[in-house]
Amino acid sequence: MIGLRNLERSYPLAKEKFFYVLREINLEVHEGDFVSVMGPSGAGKSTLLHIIGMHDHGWSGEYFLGETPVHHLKPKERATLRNEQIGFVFQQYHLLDDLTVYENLDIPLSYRRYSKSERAALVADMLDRFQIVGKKDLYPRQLSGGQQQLVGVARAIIAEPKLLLADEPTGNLHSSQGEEIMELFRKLNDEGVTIVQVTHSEKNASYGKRIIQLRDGWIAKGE
Amino acid sequence: MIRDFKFAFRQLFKAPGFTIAAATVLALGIGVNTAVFSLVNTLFFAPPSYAKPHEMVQLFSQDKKDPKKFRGFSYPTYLDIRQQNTVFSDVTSFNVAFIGLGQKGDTRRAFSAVVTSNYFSVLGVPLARGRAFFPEEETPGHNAQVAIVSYSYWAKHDLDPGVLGSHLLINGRSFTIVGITPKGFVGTMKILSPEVWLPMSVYDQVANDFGSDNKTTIDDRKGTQLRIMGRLKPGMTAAAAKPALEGLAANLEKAYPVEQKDQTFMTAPVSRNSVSNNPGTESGIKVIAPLLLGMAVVVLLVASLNLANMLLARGTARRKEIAIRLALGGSRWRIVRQLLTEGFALAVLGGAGGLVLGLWSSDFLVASMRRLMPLDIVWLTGPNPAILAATFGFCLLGTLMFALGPALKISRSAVVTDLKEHAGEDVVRRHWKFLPRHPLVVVQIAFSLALITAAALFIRGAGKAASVDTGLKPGASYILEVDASLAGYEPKHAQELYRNLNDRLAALPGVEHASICSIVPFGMFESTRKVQRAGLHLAPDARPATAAEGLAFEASWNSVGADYFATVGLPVVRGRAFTEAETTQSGPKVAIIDEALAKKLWPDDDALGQRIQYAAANAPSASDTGGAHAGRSADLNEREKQEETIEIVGIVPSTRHALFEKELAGGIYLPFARGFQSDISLIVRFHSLPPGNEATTAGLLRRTVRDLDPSIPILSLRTFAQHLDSNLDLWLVRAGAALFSIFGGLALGLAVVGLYGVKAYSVARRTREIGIRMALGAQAGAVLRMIMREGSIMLVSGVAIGLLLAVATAKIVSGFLYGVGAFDPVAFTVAPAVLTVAALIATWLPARRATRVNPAQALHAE
Ligand SMILES: Nc1ncnc2c1ncn2[C@@H]1O[C@H](COP(=O)(O)OP(=O)(O)OP(=O)(O)O)[C@@H](O)[C@H]1O
Ligand SMILES: [Mg+2]
Repeated sequence: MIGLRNLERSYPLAKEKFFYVLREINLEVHEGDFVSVMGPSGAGKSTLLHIIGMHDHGWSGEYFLGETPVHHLKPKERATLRNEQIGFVFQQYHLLDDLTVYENLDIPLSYRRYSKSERAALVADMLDRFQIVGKKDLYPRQLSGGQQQLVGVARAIIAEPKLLLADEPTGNLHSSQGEEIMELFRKLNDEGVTIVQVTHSEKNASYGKRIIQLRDGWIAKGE
Repeated sequence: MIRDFKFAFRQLFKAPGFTIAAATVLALGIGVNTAVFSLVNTLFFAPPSYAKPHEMVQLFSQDKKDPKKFRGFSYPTYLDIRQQNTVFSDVTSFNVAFIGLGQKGDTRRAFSAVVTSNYFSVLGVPLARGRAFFPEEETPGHNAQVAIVSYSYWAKHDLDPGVLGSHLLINGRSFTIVGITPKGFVGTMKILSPEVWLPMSVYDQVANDFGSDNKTTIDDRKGTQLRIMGRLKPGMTAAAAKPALEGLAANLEKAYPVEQKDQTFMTAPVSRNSVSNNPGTESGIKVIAPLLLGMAVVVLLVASLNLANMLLARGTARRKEIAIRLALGGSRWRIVRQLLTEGFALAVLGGAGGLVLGLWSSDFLVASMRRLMPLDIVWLTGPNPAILAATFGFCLLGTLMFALGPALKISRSAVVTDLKEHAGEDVVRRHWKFLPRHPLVVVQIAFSLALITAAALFIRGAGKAASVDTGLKPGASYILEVDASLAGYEPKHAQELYRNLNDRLAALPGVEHASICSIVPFGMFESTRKVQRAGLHLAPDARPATAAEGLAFEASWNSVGADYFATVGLPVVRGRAFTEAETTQSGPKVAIIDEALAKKLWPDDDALGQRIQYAAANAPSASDTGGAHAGRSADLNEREKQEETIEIVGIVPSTRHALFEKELAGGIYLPFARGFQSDISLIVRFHSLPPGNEATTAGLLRRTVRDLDPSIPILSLRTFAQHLDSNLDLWLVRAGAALFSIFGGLALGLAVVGLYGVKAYSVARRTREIGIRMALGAQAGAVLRMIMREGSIMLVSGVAIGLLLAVATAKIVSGFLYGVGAFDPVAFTVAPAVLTVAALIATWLPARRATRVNPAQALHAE
């Protein structure tokens, strides 16, 4: 599903000098896989995830998503591809504060080709599935952290992505709330969604099928 | 409080970019107000330049039978009033006159006042140098050749102490300067100041010579030359003085039943803008003062709204500081006070800039007016207490408008949420989501649309005015204005001289026609007469309804040479032009009238060959004539002998007389010899005037005058086109267009900057939101559309409200518009279009920046 060859990401430091955040990354993720990326703070985990999620374009190397060579695509084509395939869960939930739960769920659909009725049906579905129907008209600040992340996950998968990226999805949650999210991920993975998550917790990583260790931009262990 | 100020300035100093932007916006808003205020104040409100103005009144001689009719006083009447009245501590008398000032051949026209010897003492104005006039210098027949000059005259001579005692040539005669008025003294009017004051005994030498018939000398009790002002005795009021003055008038009428027939006296405040013998002449011009001030305040309002937005934005950023202050026990009032102090500190910075800007721009306006008029415009530059106080007032007003709202709003924030929340975008739970997010910007857009629409209307008017069809086709003509009386010519000799000059000009190479005229079309002066069909003897109380019954019509009057119509390109459509003999010697009484007047006098008949007569000044007349300018007309009406009847020998096409008359008033032309005037213009029509030859041609014309008599002053020499271009009405229309363009431009600029600021700020604040949206699938186009849509909602609501305001504004200014309707479709299309385009650009720039947000970084920053 994902193939990274010699992927590198650097930031210019002073003149002619670069600070490498990611170095010679080679990685294969197969369809149906559930990968946990681990490593110390500053290792480049979030950076890697944003590159895979095509939020960041300032990298070099090769990136295949399925058969598609992402490194050859123009930004617009990348965005289209991303919208078709990828969902993203953030550590800080990143719900929009002045939109209700319902409206937050609707955002991804509004940027894709869905009709009004399809959108309504999908949002209703999602509310149902996550058992937050009663909360649909509340604003994010009226929810607990766990409930907000539930909405965040729901929003990430509402457009039915094949690949779910999650950057420390439970980082700000109590362990019990975290478990709930992880159970959800396992269920999604069972349904066939490929998942790449960044986590600090061994326990969360144990929900996944394999672990990639990232240290100072290098892949230290794994494949 | 002082601590507050210190802290406020430190805060401003900490954010120099914000401070400079805010102070600039305020300087513009306050500057416009200061400029308009200093003009309006000087024209209408500033105290006059003489002592205790509340005691001074002007005395008017009113016709008891026809209370709308006023006239001036004779010098003997003035003496009687001075001696016999019981209500004034003293009265003084004066009139104004245009004089030729300067050396032989280098004469310019200047504005003078001829005054009684007590003029300066009654006004309570001590002279800066020298002395006032002595009583004997006032006595008719004494011909005291002494003069007092204005401070600005002195300043023109570098404040040379030798000016006092030196000689100056007035109308070709030498006068000794015996005094200099103090700086800032402008006589009884504002701004327009006499440059020279002369004693009453020289009145007949310098008085403007309006027609030669029936002229009275200054010692003649039949005269009506003078204005009288009186200083009421302490404790006396105008109302209390009324019966005494009426009694005095009745006594004088008894003593002089002919001269004082039906005259009674009344008082009114001294006019600031005219030297009229009619107390009701200045009301119209006053309307424009509140209009100008109102427009200026709107600009300040837009500037303030703009600033309020900036402060709100800054307040959002400072939430944390304020929340901490509140949490630490600061009262809300303390915080409001602090924020207001900061606002006021800003306003003071802006006000200082505004003061400079305002004074500079009002000087500029006055300078542009000065170029048009042969008058000494006394305009004291620099701040005076009134202007400083007003500017301070605008600062306070501005502070309230821009700082109070944000201060209240920002200080209301709840402590807990603000400490907890990240300082992100200003999250307001909006129950009315369809309402625009930033009402202040909407109001700015609305007001600026109103101002731009007004500007567009004025600009359209100025365009139309500049290309107005005058009805004349003068081709390539020069206008040469001379006045032989200023060189000491008597009328008889002057007439001779003019005929010679006319002939010589006509004989110059390249000249097609040349003709004299007493009134140059569209010049400073206009003359009107009431005419009616001849041979009618109306009962005194007759109310004729038609021309046949004796209804009189007011018509523009001119006396012209034989070649006049050919010179100005008017064909004689019926009858004939004047003959050479008619225009140079007093022959049979003939006139040429235009088609408009012919149609009025003989609606169903041929006017050619008919006879007309001048109507009595108080004869009933049709009131639909164009506005006559104040000027010579008032004095002219009374001097014509009614029993003369005049034969109409020709009819010419109608022309405009005033540039902007709404309806063609009708005109009557007399042969020059029958309407002699010493101040005349010669129109010289060339076959063509190749560009680049102006200096040569003007030199040729000047030489022709000088060859004839070098002492004849050339009062002006310019092409007909230049003459039209300097028309005062045109200047007013253009000044209006310029003023409103400045108002509109400023408001537009401020509103667009405000819109840009709000959008740019919100894009910056919403980086996270935009990043999230992009991470969730929004492409650049979608983000652009989102920001543009929000901007457009503001724009559309602003334009909608603005159109309503524009309609109201157009209604208000419609009276000042020339040639355009209040709802001119062009103005009402162009103004919103300009605003829309500017606003869309102002929205598009930040929107485009929003599309460049990198979601990875935007979210990383959290
Ligand atoms: N825009 C940037 N400019 C320069 N350096 C950056 C930028 N963004 C990230 N970095 C650097 O890249 C490195 C990796 O950052 P990244 O956020 O991927 O770490 P991480 O592994 O997710 O850490 P954490 O566990 O704390 O989230 C860090 O050292 C960071 O300072
Ligand atoms: Mg991270």
